[in-house]
Amino acid sequence: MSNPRPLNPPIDAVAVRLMWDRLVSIVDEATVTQYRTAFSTVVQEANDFACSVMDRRGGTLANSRFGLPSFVATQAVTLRSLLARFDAGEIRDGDVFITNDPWIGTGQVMDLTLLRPIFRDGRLVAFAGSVAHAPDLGGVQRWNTSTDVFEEAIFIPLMKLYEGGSPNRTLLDLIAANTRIPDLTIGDLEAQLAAMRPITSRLVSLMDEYGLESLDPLADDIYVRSETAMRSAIAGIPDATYTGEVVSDGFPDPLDLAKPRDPILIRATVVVAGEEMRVGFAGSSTQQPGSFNSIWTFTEAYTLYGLRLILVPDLPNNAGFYRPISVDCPEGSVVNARFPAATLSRHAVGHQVVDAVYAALAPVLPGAVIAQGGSAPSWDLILMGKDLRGRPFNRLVIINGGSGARAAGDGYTWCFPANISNTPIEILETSVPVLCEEKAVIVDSAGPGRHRGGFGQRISLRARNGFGFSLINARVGHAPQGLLGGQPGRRGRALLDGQEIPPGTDGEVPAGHQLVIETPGGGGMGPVIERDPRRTAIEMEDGLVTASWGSLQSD
Amino acid sequence: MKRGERFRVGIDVGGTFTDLAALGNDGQEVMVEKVLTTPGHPWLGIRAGLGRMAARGLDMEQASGVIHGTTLVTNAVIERRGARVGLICTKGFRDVLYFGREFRYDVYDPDLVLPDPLVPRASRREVDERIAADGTVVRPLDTTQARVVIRSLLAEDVESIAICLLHSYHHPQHEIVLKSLVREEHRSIPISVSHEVLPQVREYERASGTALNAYVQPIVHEYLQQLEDGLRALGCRCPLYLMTSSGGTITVDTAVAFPIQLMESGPAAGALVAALIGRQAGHASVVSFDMGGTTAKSCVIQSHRPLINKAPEVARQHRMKKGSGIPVGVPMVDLLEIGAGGGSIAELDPVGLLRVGPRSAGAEPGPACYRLGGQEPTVTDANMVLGLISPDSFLGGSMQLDPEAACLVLTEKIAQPMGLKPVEAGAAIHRVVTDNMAEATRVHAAELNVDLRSYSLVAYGGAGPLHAYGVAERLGLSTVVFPRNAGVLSATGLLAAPLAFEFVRSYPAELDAIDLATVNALLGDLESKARGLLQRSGVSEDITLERTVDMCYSGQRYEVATPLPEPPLTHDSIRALKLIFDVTYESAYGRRLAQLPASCLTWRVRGSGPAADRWWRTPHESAARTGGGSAAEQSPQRTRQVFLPGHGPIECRVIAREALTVASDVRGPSLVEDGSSTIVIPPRAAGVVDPWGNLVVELAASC
Repeated sequence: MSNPRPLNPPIDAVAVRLMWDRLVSIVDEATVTQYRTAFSTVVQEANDFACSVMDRRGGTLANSRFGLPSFVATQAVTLRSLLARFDAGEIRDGDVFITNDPWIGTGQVMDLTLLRPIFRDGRLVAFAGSVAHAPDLGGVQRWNTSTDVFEEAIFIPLMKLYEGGSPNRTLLDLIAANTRIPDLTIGDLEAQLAAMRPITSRLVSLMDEYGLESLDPLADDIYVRSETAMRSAIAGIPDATYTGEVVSDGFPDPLDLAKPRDPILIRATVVVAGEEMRVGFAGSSTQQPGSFNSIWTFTEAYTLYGLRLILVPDLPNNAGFYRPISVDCPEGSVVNARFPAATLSRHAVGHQVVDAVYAALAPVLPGAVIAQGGSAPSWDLILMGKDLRGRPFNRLVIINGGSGARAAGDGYTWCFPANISNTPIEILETSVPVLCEEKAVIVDSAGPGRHRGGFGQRISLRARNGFGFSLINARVGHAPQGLLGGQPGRRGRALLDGQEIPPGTDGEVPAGHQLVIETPGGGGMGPVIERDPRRTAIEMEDGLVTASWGSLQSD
Repeated sequence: MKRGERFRVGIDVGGTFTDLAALGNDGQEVMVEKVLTTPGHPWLGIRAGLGRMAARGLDMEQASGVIHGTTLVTNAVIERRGARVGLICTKGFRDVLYFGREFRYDVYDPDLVLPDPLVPRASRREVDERIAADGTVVRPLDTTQARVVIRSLLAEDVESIAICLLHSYHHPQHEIVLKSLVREEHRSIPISVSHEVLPQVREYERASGTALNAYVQPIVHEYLQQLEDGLRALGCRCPLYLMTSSGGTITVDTAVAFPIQLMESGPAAGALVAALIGRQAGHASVVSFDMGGTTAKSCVIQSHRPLINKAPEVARQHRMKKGSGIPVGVPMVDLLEIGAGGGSIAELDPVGLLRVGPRSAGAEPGPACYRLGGQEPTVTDANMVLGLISPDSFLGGSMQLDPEAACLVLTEKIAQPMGLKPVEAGAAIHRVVTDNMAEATRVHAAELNVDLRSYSLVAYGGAGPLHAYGVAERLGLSTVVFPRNAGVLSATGLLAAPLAFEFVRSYPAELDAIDLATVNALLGDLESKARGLLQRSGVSEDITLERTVDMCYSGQRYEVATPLPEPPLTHDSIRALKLIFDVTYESAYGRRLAQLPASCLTWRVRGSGPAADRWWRTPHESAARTGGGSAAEQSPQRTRQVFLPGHGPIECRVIAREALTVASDVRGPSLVEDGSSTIVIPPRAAGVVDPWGNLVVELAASC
């Protein structure tokens, strides 16, 4: 990577503003195109996708403002891998590259990353990228019992889906033949292609308009500005080594479900030295059997996202922010599993790395950090079986917990650090043979504090037809912790006909039987004694908390 | 206007001004008025305006219709001035309003805030009942328990009741019983029932819309009563109609029952008039561009009709961030907030780059050049420094502006830190704000799958005409239309709308599983409702019915409005419907996926009366009388040295708009001042005044 250095000749600051805003708008256009033309509910109801524009060297220039933070970061990782594997002569106008290799991508084999080189006057100037969670790529369907990546889906190494504008029929046929729902899977793939198309023409016309021969000077200017902002934020933190830990539920060993589970430890060591920061995860648990390990791409993505969110919020995202930060994920650990580990539940661990980093920084950044939340990891419920008309279905539903409190305010019931919306119950019941008997706030589940966590929720599903399920969840044995005197939120749990089932259960719900999901509440921030009593009074009147809330959980 | 002539009156109550327009039924414009809005008591402002019109000879006894648009409903929600609502819902689902969609609308903002639900949790009550998606009654409604719930809410003095049960969009039987129980328990309390207000699938959006309706109902009822009484006292004997957010008109009765349809009533009229201006200028498809003091808005008008947003929001926490507000549910004219207004503040952001908005100086203290205490440079100050705004032509000369003050803050806050000259800083602000508006419009067009390149821009608002040429250039549009009487456009737009009512109902089904009897009964019911309401509103002939269904390929979320074959639907017409959908989808998304199965969701019937804009097709007599000629020849030559962003220092002719007559032509570079704004005509552009008085500018006319 090039070092930050003064531009020669310097670009006029007004032009940088205009061009930077335009880059953001180009990605926005791609994002709405992908959203609008996608087929699967994973993209459309849950927003499980992202788009970006990257410079020709592998840095992110601009990306979607909503959707999944991890997908943005990993596109650039995939691109750098592409640049390392393919000679310049092999990257041609009209090519589109594709992969679902977790170790150079999103950390999970169900996500398809597409990269499209952008040429102007025969010269490579940039890349467009798009990542989306595919509705089905074959494989086990059950997320908790795979033992290696080969069981989980068709594995697509980084290769060309389009070559010089022509589709790679062999590959497309192979993908279509390896999915249970080719219409949806290929339909979503086409939406990804459609999203990247306008990026090319709009980027070229931007360059024409400003007479740019290369995007690199613009990219460097944006990176240096963003880097400078991040450096000054880091410089505000006293030089020291900070450590933070998350202790969380252990997961099942797919080869021996009865085996006792040890808790998982994620340990973050944050070294602040001047304007730079090193984050390391040495001392974290070793790699677990099954699919419950993060992969370095995913760990790094959420570590950087979590830091950027609290250190330099709001500004449009780009690679410059991350230059002063390095992340070290020891291979063979729970934050970086070795190939060919199973990957489907990688977020069960990966979503929690942010909490370890915040725990480390809480003493020095009390006004910025966020307490542990009930959606780290996100609670994913995969439902499968036959609908009332006898047709097969397979549906991923995210059930959000309470987010952690922060100095600025209470938590909400939504997803953090990922960002996935709920599925309307009326939509769910139209396509899946279940009756939802309750979707309700769990009273008193929010972690008490000066600011409280978000509330967990209870969803009760009664099977109209029998169905199978995979539940990826945690914070069951270990409730989301508060920060700086804030108290923990209520632990989560899942019950099959009233009997609690352990995290990471694959199971069956016969017709007439009931599955209940109770997501965890978020941790509180600061001592509850400092909470505005008027807020508590209102929430007591609303029945969100009872009189014992705040004292119950302090012991 | 001649004595005894019948006419209609349009009244638009906005945040600052109340605009009134009266139009003779023969199509000749008669009179416009503008008075200050009287917040809290809007009727007072209306009465003052009508009083002025009466003094100019308007006889309200001769009015044949009054059409009203208002921001009252939106403001009541934003200011939280609505009623105490009790919400009754299905057992297990009282927290639907609390959860919303559980989505972080900006992942790079750690301090996101959501609006509090309009109905506090303590006033949300559950009744024991349950109907499944397929209509199976899983649990019958427990009427005894329901009565207890209703009585407890009434005992707590709620002022309005909302009812929203699961799957009622297609299976309303329990809601119907509940409504009658509430009526039995209370003779007059307003009741909003979800299958009537918003019969659409997705429980959060439907509950939100129903609660909103209940929340504003008492306020709207009282206000409309007052308005009707007041108009009657002035001698007015004609019906009063309300403009809906989707650009139709409804009766007072309907407005009182479904006030949610008035959410964006005023701005919708503005979009309609942009469509009308486009029609006059011979452009079927235009983009409206309305830039005022605090915001800029745009709307895409395709084939004379403003596009509709099916998932609008109100009371956003962050103006430009989708997902930060309360879903309204009912369709609204798709007015997009595209950026800052004249009062928006320019500043340097944390990476040392210029940023314009979202902070605004508003009307008070306002831009620095107002000399009302504003200490920060705004877009208006930038335009002042560039010379685009004349210090003595603001608000028709009634307010003197101070260019020195503008230059001072601009120099101190922007030019010096950036190492620029004041005019360069002014040009930078002008360009940033213009670029951002154009980009927001372009992204929105992509979302709507509209290619704007063949569109024309219709520009108005206090700052719109200053930035229109830049926005048009950025979007690749060649024609910009500057309407006459831009200041009262919304009021005239009210008069352009046909009487139209839309009825909708959700019946989700895969195309191959549709029950023909069900769907035909549903369509027949919607149609008779639309016809009945039109007839009660005085339209007996020339009724146009449009039947559509929102369809998608099974599994997709975004539905496409697909025209239905003539009813009754048969197996043949269902087959035809699939083909119609394939073609409609292809024209929207560029690919046909005939092999995929399709699903239907929401069925719509829209009934409309004769298009009111036939009155507008004839040019204005007064304008047509005088001849054309070059504007430069007709008035003494005035010029001003300006710095035109994108063109640099340049000498512009300065022309008063009133000096322009039909067929007058104006060549750039010129500034046309019309009392409320300044039209910038850049070099190489040329404009001509059309028979209606609109100035139509071709941007690259003389190259």
